[in-house]
Amino acid sequence: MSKISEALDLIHSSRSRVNSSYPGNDEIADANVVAELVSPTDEQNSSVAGSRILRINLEDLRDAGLIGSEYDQQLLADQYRDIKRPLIAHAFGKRATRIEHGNIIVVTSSIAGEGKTFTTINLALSMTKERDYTTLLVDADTAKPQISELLCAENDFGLLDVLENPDLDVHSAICPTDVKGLSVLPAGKPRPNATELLSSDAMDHVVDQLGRASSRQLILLDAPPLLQTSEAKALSGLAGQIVLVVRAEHTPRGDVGTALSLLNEDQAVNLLLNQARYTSSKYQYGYGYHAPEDKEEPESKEIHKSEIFE
Amino acid sequence: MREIFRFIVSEIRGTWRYRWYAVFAAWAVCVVGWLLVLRMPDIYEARTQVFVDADSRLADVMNQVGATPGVGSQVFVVRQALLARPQLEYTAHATGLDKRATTVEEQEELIDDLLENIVVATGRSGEGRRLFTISFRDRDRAMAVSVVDTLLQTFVQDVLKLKDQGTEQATGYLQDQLEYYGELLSEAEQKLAQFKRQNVGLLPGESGGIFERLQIETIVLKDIRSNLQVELDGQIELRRQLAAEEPYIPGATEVAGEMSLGGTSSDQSIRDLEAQRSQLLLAYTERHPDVVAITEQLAQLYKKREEERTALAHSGSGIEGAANANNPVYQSVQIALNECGVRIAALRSQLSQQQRVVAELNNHINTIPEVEARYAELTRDYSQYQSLYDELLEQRERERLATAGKDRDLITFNITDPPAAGLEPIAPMRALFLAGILVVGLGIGTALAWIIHQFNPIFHDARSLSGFAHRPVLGVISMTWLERNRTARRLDVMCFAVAGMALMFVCGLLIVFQDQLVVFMDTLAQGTTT
Repeated sequence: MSKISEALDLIHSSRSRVNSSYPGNDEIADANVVAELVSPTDEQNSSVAGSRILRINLEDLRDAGLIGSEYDQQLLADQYRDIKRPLIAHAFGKRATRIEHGNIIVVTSSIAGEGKTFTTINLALSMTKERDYTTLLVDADTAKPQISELLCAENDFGLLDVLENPDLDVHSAICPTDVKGLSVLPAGKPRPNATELLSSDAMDHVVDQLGRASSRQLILLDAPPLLQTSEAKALSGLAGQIVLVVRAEHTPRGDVGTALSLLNEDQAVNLLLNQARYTSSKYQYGYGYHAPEDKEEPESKEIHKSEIFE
Repeated sequence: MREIFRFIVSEIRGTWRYRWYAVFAAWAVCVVGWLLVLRMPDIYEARTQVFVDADSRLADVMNQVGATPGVGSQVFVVRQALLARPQLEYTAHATGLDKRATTVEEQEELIDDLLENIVVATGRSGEGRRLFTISFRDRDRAMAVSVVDTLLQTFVQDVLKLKDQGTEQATGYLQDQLEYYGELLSEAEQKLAQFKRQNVGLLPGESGGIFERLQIETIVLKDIRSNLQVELDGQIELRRQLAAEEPYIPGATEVAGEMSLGGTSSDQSIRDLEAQRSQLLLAYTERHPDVVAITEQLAQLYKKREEERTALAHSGSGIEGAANANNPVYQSVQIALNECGVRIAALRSQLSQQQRVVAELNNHINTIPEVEARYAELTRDYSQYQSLYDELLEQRERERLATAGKDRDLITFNITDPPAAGLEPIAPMRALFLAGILVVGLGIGTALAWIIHQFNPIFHDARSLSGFAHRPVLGVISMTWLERNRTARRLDVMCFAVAGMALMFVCGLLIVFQDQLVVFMDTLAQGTTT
């Protein structure tokens, strides 16, 4: 976590300078993130008063270590593509059994510092590339609302505010971003009873609302760690699919076991090994393969896939 | 195979996480260990070699006589004695080693150390068996030599003493036995003599036992009796014959007178003188003095013969009339009868004597066996003691002979290597220890890291994760490095490498400069104590 916290400080200090400068198209293409920027005017029409378009600056994210470095981009993009595929398949029943509320995906971990936020952001960015679906990123880690902070929305109207005022429509709190297909629900203003709010019936209601709003929307919740907070368990109960992030060579096995025991047996729990250092030759292969001039090559992707499903 | 490889790699990676623990542990172990090694005192070894020759020509001879030298086993005994506690205490005292110990416990420990550090060894076989090596290790070189010297002296003395003791013991034993049996023998001798004195005549002689004697005497008695009977029968027959013969036969008077005259002493002399006179008359006349003398002598003899004849005619015959009887048969029977009477009288006296002897023997026939048994007993004792005594005497002579041989050259000592110690300490092998501690330190460090890793199991790959959780694993996200993280990591690995290399470098330095360091440490220690 300290890594991101440091990065956030850096970003905040630099934001004032580069606020107006958009990243160039070339840069974004290089980052291999689909950077079809939504035109601010389109979104503004439909948005609730007070909401604004959040800008996602890839450079900032990269500095914060929240997306892969330039060398690792291609590899990480491939890896996330492989990860999102079964999640989407189960969410909408395409070439897989449909899971109820499968489009509501909670990303959590056993303990802090395993890369939940990193995973959520990258997964969300990867999902935005899907042409058929939109993605909603919900910052449910209210104690450490890193996504909100990253997007300078930590003091914006957000989830907690909606929970406290049942009269308010949750959709009014959702902010569109400059990445097409991606919108964000910030954490909301911090308050002491955040834990209770997240565990309340209101949360059920909100999630229900979100899930029902669109049958073509994937909702990613960035939840707090399971073993360190109580709301994470409540949040996971609302989701159709759960992604439990495990940091390689860091998370103790016992903690993973305990975290799994907290989750409902019937729920679709998927594991994700993060920050694997020297796991397989695939890493080296991908690393060597991704020379800057190379773009997507179907053949190479096939190789990656086959290795994963081996 | 692949599984094993995968497992090993995962263990190494897991251990790698705790590399800094390993480095610190290794450093701690090495520093402490190295200091201890440098503080270890130098140990010097003193040794000496003795050639103990137990073989000689005399040994063969002695083997034949029965005095086996057995030097090998004796020396073994000496070796045991050398390492006995009293001997060690003596050695400690003689060399001044005991000054190091002040308390009783220290004293005990000192003796134990001695026992541990003294080595008395012989070669395995052949000539080597006679080559004794005595060695001792101590941190004081002079002390080591002194201890070995003392031990060598004791060793030589003990072996010599043992040799003497052996023969002394043997001869002493024999002497005692001899005296003892000598007393027994003379006692038995006296008893036997006394018994013989008391039972003179009753003891079995050369002729055998009393029964044999009785038998013989009885036979003799019987002989005498039968002889007597024969004589008595003869006497009766002679009497009968005598009675049958007439004492006088008339026609035979002349013959008888002639015969009777011839019986006188004068007749013979007359005849001799007459023959002599006839002879002389052939050569001489009647007037020759010799003839005259003979004639005169004859005349006297004639006269004398007449007188004798008249005297005889006047004397009457006796009852038997033998002398006067003129029957020669009667006369000879008479004589035989007389002789027979004499023999009978002699036999009668013999018989009575023999009867007395037999009667006496019969009287003793009950007491004699007891005496004989007692006698046999005494004789047996005596002869037994005699033979034992003789045997011992012989043995003592043999031993004397053997001792004479031993004194000469049975055991010879030859100190092939006098007690000495090398100038260089033989221990501790510091270089080896220093390097060993480095290895141990690294091992302990690695082991520590591995143990910590074992207590904190983590996941290396999707395989281990899915195997543990039994839930689907969506995938694996590779580590992504920010430049600053990458630098920090490089720095970490570099520091780790430097720490490890430094450890080895320091070890190398210590090995190279160990001697100087030992001296330095000693002065440092002295400085702090004073």
